[in-house]
Amino acid sequence: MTRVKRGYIARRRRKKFKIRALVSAHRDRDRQKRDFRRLWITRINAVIREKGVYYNYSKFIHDLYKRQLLLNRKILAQIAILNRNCIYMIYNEIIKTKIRKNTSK
Amino acid sequence: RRQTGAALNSDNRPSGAVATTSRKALAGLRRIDLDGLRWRVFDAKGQVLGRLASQISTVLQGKDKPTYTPNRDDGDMCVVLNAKDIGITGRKLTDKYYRWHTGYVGHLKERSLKDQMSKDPTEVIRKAVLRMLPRNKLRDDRDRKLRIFTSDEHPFGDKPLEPYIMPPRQVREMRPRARRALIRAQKKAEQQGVTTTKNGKKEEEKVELSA
Repeated sequence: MTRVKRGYIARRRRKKFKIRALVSAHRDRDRQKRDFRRLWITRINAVIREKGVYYNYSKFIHDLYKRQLLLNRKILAQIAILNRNCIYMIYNEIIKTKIRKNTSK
Repeated sequence: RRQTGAALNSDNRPSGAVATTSRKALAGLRRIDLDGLRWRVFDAKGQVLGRLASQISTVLQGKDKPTYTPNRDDGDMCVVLNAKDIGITGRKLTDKYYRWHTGYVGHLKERSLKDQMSKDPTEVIRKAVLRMLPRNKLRDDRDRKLRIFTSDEHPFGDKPLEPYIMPPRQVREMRPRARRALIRAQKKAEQQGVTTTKNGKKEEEKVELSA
């Protein structure tokens, strides 16, 4: 048997792993967007639930859209961590319009 | 075994009836790193088993904090008191079985909720909470943060404890047959005057249903 240099075999093995790494990087770049959005939603949910009984992320987002606030979840989550009062201010703004609508009806 | 008057040993470790449970309770505390954690106290008296367990599991995972990170365990320490007074609805006391297989052929063992409660009531809550946590590498660490006690006493008196207020619950209206049975039981109790133990237990179960 002719001697095959070890480097030749190693190079071929590394190519296989390199391909797998590239593939998973490519796939996970799309998944990263999903993962982060999940994380932001969980964090916003955590903060919003403290605000009141039966108030949760879904209602919050619904009210945000009704009020036509275009803040996205990334910013909301960052605000929630760094500046808790700001989220409460946003929440109060939204609630005010809701109460006004309810009483006017 | 030893009958000592003081609650603490000579080297400040708890002794007496609180000893074995509290030694186990204080056991893994050294392994838990962070002490930016809060100590939340859950009172299981009168709470329904699964609903309480679901709240405990969210607190254990740290999902009520805005700094939740899925790859790192950031939950608070949960202390559950009065495990023997947990509420069970329906016929689960007699009909719910915990089953496990020992590995040997034909050896499927089962134990009903009633027997488990008489043996070790903390296991009921612990199993319920553990099975609600996500099955990943953090599950064991989260289990270590959960301390359950049968009655009101616990050795964590010196820590800054915060009671956890359960969110209010929409109790389902009782089904007509159950309600009629409850009314019948109440009428019978009024007629008899003094309730026997059997009637008292039945009323307790029905009262938990409507609570």
